[in-house]
Amino acid sequence: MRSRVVTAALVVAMVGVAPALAAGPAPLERAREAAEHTAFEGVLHVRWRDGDVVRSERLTVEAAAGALVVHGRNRVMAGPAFGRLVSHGGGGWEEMWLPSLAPAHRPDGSKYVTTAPVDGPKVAGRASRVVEVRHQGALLERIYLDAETGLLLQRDQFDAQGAVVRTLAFESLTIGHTGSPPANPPSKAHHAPEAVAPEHLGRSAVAPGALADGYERMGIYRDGPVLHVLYSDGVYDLSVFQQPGRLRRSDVPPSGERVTVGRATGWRYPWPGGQLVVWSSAGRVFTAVSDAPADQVLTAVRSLPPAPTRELSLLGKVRRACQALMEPLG
Amino acid sequence: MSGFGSGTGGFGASAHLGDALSALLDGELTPSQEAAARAHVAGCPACAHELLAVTQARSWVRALPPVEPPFGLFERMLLERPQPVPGAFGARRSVRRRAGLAAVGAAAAAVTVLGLGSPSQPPVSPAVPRMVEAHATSASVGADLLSKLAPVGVPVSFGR
Amino acid sequence: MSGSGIPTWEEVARDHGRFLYTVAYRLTGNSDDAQDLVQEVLLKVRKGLETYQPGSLEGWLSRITTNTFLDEARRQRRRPVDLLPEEPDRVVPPSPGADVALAADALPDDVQAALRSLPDEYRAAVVMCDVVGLSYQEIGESLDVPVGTVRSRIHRGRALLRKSLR
Repeated sequence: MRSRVVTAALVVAMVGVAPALAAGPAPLERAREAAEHTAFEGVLHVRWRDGDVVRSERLTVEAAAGALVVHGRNRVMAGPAFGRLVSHGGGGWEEMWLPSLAPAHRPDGSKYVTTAPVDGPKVAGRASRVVEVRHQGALLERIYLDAETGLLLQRDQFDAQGAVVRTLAFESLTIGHTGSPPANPPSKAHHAPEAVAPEHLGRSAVAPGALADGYERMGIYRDGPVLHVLYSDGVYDLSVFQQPGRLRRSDVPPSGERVTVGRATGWRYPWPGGQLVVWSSAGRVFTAVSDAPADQVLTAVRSLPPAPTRELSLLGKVRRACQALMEPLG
Repeated sequence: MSGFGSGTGGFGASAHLGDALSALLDGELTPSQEAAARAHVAGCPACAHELLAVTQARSWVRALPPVEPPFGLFERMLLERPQPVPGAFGARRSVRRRAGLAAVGAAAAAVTVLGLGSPSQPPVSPAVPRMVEAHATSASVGADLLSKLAPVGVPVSFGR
Repeated sequence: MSGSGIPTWEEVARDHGRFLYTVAYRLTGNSDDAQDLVQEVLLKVRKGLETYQPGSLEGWLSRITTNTFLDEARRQRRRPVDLLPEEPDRVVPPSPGADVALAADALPDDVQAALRSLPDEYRAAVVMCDVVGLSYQEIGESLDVPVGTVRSRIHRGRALLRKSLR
């Protein structure tokens, strides 16, 4: 009994004020602040599993004065003054997000258990502190943070079998001013969506206030015919895009993994930042994008209520089924 | 080199600028031509009005956003075409052919499932790369920029 | 990347596909034709990559796209269209109060529809100038016409656009 008390005291002393098991992503909060306030430059190595192959890309990142620029085959820029900009293949900047669209406050992430930071291996030659994100006992992520600045150095996501699903890691990192801060680009095409209030949604829109497993709605946006509903569980974010239409097998790339969403057939694809699932139901095509693990994404989208449909006469249903069977394959 | 104005020849107070107005807008006039054009516009309401009209048309076209190709268009094209460089895809060619046959089989099954959908709606191909970017940019607000936003530096594609 | 500065066919499709599709869509006005055009262009790109001189890749791609589009459009036209009538430019007389905001913003779909209504050669010139961003000189070289013709087509295209979006 006494030795246990002494051990606990030592643990508390070592990690400072943080309790032994912290609920909520405080280390991620610190990483966020570090990315927004530190000046740094580095090479980020992104790898993700796509079926049985691992794909890999390297990006350079520079940050200063609250702005951050990522250079890959796309370029991405973030800044408090101008929001989020993306440029594709060397083309012009497109304004994807404006500060005025700021989503609602995130849930506190208490769905997850985040372990207290402990000393970790060197990443990009820098001393790290490691935290683990667990859900219902299973290890979901291991996050390595810079011991000195709190900046994120590496982040690995695992599947239920413990294999790495995707990983993002600095290969080289220099802290401190290494050059001029990224400038606000002079001209940009405007693509930021419009915010939509829930009471202004059409009757066919599917946008519940919450999804299964702690995903709370943070915002609703419209970009032309596409409605974007953003959810978060405090650690992961999930977007559900929807638009009128139907999906044919030939409209989706053949490499997708077939999944079911309710009675609909969908296809799942990985992307460097997570997962996406596409399906259509009741005259709408849905696309879910998330950085959550695949099984969480599926659970969450399966909890979407069915879109309201008009009742068809029996003849109408028979007619529809015949039309569908006439659809060309693939 | 074409004349300054495509009007009735020469330029002076009586000739209108015509297509030189677009050249003016696009910075395609020499400095002296540009100065003369601006001087003319200052004193000619008709040309000033026409300049405004073409300025608007120009800005509308310039403001047109890029158009997202249908989901998977290039991946499908890359799969269908024989590859000139064996190293890039050659080793996986047989895998892809099998995937293609499996896709046709899956399609046959999928049609009957999808048949319960709404054939009266037009087929639509979601602009997935744009959605991924919209997700990542919105999710990155109030969150760690590196994990949420950096992956957008990699263009979204769906082939192997 | 092949190292010599010449991209591979896959790299062109992957890194510039969106640009290619955008130009094709703005030229043809609909998704099916744009896809066909992109496919044609990529075939030509495959053959042409060996002789490609490193420089403006997107300029080169838009040149192939526009010429392919115009060739096909001419092939399909039933009657020859007189594009540059001999009469001198008509100047739009100002209407009272015209200096007050001429339409604020036009919806992209409306602009696209108006583009679609232009004669093919005018549309091609406007797209190369205002969507791709080429100079008159570059457009003239791409389409093999004098700079004066480029200027005329762009100007008349814009005037027609403005008229149809009143």
